[in-house]
Amino acid sequence: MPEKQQAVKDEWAPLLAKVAENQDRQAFTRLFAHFGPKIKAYGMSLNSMYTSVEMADELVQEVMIKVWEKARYFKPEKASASTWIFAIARNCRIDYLRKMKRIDSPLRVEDLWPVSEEPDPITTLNQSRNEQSIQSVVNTLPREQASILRAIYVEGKTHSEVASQNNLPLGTVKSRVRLAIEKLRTGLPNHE
Amino acid sequence: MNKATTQRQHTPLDRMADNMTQFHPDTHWLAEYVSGSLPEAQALCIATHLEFCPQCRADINALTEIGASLFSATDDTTPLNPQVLDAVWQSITPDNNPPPAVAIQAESHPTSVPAYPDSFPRALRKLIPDGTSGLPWKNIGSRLSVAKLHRIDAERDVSLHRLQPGGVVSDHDHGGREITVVLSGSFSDQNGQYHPGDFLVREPGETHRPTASEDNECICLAVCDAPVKFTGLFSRLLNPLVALQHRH
Ligand SMILES: [Zn+2]
Repeated sequence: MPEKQQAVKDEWAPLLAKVAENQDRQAFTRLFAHFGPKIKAYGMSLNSMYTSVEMADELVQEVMIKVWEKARYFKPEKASASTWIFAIARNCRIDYLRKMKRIDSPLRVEDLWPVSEEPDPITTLNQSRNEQSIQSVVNTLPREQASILRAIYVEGKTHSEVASQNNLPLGTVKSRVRLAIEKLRTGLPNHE
Repeated sequence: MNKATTQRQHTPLDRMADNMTQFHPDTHWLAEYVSGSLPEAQALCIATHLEFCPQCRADINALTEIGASLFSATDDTTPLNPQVLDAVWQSITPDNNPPPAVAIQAESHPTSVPAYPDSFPRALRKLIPDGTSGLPWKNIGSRLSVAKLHRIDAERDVSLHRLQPGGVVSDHDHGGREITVVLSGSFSDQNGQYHPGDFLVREPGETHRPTASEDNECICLAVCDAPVKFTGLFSRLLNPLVALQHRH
């Protein structure tokens, strides 16, 4: 039963609820203090010619404005606060690159990468996860798996980019990522 | 717990709802989608598949959580520019916030519904504002028509392919790597039978011979790399010489 997994509380979710319900500025300031630096680091890590301190600051600003505006769409039963904010930060980073590359598309980033701001009647999985359990498994990954995973997720590199930058065959990169993900999924309560 | 994967007897009508999807993107596609590095046209293929496939949605959720935990573990000692918080406060003045929920929801419920097969996913509908009948279909031979959609990334073509019931395309190779996602109907080749939601990748050099099922036309989303002059799942028919062989 999913409930048993909620022993570790998502301490940030109640703050998001306060922002949503009361436009609570104190709660928002705490969220900003915690997530702002992570968003900035996430922006600075992007493997791109467009990465800069200014861009990272702008990313923090945009993501946190979205957090304020969309807090009402955050569903604690579907995702943890940090998963939700990560998805928003990822979308803002994609959007930033899109603007830099002047990609002209009739689609919004959210059309291709929906965040739980829109009704999604078909997602049935319970998403209250134990993040600390993933984190503890991340720490046990062999170093080359952990660093490839970080390159993919945080630096936003493709598997091909990781392969060519590390002089590895593409197949090796793919299988390391797959192994790491499999290992991490066993740290997730809902894995089957 | 997960109703979408409950075992039931399949009746033909159940198939869509009950997920007949059997061909899924490999993990590396899903990981690049979640991390945001996947080019938009390919992300469209993943987003389309996800609307059909509860299993991959569950995978995406797990991959997103993994991403979030790496994001949470980033070295966040970089000092924040204090002006950033000020700028945030400025743009969230009580006047313009919070935005009315209605406005945001309205977008995901188009008022007039053009003619799409029911299975058309949300992301794709936006690229086809006038429905499939309003597309500039080009007949390629008697059984196949192709409609190019708005380009959403610089290096790939996005199009819809429509194969008439029973239509067969001879063995052919693709100019570039191509992703196909079945949207409605079904087709088969030597590797299997493909139903709505199925996600297929053909590398250059792989040949196949798609055949649409007899009872329904088959519509697929096709995204092809390195746009060469003639591309597509049924692309050889675009080549006049090959097309000629089919004109009987
Ligand atoms: Zn799938």
